[in-house]
Amino acid sequence: MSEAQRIITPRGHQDGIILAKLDEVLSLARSHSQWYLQFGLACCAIEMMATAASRYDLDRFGAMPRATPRQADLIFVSGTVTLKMAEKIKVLWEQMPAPKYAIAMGSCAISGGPYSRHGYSVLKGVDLIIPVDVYVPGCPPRPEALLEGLVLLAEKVKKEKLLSQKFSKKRGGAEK
Amino acid sequence: MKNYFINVWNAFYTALVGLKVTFLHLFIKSVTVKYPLERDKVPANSRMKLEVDWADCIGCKACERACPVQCIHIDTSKALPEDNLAATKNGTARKLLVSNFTIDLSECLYCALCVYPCPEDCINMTPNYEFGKYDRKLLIEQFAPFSDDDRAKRQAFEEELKKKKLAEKAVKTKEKE
Amino acid sequence: MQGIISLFESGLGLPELWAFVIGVVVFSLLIFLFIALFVIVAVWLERKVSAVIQDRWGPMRAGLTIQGELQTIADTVKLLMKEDIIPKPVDKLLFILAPFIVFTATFMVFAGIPLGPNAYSGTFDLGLFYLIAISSLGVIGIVMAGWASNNKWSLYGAMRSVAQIVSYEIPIALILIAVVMYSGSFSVKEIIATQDTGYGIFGWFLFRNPFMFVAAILFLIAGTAENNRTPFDLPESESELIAGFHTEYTGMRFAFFFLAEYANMFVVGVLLAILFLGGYAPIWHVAALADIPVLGWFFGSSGFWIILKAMLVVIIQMWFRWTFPRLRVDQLMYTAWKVLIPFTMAIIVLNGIWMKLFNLI
Repeated sequence: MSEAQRIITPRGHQDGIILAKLDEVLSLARSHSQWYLQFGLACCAIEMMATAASRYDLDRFGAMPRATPRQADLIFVSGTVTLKMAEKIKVLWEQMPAPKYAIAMGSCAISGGPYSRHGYSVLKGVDLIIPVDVYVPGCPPRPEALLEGLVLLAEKVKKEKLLSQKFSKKRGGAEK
Repeated sequence: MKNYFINVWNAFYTALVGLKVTFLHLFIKSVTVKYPLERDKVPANSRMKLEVDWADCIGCKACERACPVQCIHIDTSKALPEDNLAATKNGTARKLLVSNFTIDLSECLYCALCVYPCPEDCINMTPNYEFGKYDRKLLIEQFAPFSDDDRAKRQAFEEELKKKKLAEKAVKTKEKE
Repeated sequence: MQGIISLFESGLGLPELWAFVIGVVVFSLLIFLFIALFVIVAVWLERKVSAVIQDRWGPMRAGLTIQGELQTIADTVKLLMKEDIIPKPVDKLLFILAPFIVFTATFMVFAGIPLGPNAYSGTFDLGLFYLIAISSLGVIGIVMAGWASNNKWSLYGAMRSVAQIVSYEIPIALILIAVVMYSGSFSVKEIIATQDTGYGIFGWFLFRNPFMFVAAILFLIAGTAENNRTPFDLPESESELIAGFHTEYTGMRFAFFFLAEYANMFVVGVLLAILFLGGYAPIWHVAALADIPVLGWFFGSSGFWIILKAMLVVIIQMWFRWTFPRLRVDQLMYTAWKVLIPFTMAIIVLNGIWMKLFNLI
């Protein structure tokens, strides 16, 4: 690494300072705009609706409901995932465009919950079929708990470096 | 013909009524709880996250048996003299050391069935609802204050003890014969 | 626009053709900037209006203050960074072209909108005719989107959209005739000049006679239907058709539909302002207002007044959206063919009688 490179490359970063800063801004913007898929499974969905309603108001976090997975960034897996529904969740997940996130809401979605030992028709946790970013425990969780999950997700998104990853991949160096 | 005009007028008039209703909401204060800045007050006896006071646990496993989803796991071993276990707040002497007390909060039903059988009131529902995690494994809460090495040592010691007992029993039965 | 072109021609000494091309490009960029700015404000405003009506707070996390004023910018950045999915069974050319055609149609409408007596991009003698003709061009894009998506929801949405827009074009055109009866010209400039009588709001066509007042209300209803907004949002009704004709669109392609929808709202607002609210003529002519340091510049400029009037109509449209439930398809058709068209025809006749009675012809 030459001296000039060292100057524009801050500690720990593989990429230049401009790319890193740009990434920060973009990730900040993305973290404030998570449109969620209108999708509910069980009793947790009732709590999710309550969260979207006036008292808790998901819109404050920039979360807008979208009915089509093509325009959604976020899926709340809210409730018991039966084996039959698991296929549909997988399809919906595959239809969402790339920087996408999933929040598992409630015991059933995280691990099968009350059905984790004896539920013959229940998937034992959605993370078996889709990558879950934030787990919100509760049975069902309070609306505030879901909002906390959203805040946690925003924190996670803020740390992402999509541009740096893309360009470093092109250069054939530095995996994440 | 008369009906038609009445219908049109009704449609127009009722639309105006609707617009008036929504317009009046301009003057109503918003009911939103601005969550990260302010929080709703939750009743003190609400059933949210489980908390265990390890210092009071006598390892009776009543909660483990009561749990309908078997999300509580307790391992006990005989207390050693060097552990210096103090009595619980009810005055019961602790003869067993709880080396492992895990609750899988991702499976928990928050039904509070484990709270009632506890003789020492050491397992409780708290009004804390904010414990979302990035990883499912982090939701398995460990309440015993031991490191994994410690726990392994305990387990090894316990097994040795059991083997010794078995050996002693075997000797005794042989003597009887 | 002529001003800009001549500026390039004489000021920079460019040949005529080059000056024309550069002038057009610069002007288009200005209009695009204006649309983008308007949409950024309007989307945020829409979310705030909905929040107020539902006793909520609305976006508050993105932005410097608690009002979340950077929310739309965050949304735009996010849409830009999304993966661009073109599904396999899609007709690729039409699929890619559709959002741009929808947006271009709206964009072309802006060419006919005057922001002042001299702030034209082009002067048409048939300006009003141009506005109405071009604004219904977007339907082609919507049909293309619905057909190319190879998705039953999209197709249903597109078909509904065509039926709706074709139906609601007619009452709008008939109302235009009622207005033109007064102004005696299709030129936008002429129509506004007729309303600028010096009596302030009493010169507006809105208050010329009771039938014109009804006509304005009908125009607002038909205009709302024209740009597919609630209660006439059948083409993209969420609960029935997922997202209608833009079900399969992601990221930036969807953003163009979004942009066109909100720009259309502005077009309806501007049209209503031109036809009934006196266009860029100020609400009252007071010389003293122009002397106020900063606000005076706004009160003095004609662009301020037309944008203000258009914004008011836009806010009324948002108010509609968060008040009314969606109509059924048959009710939608009933409203267009059995209520709006007979009423507008009656208005034309009554208008003529009124003008004959008061010797206005």
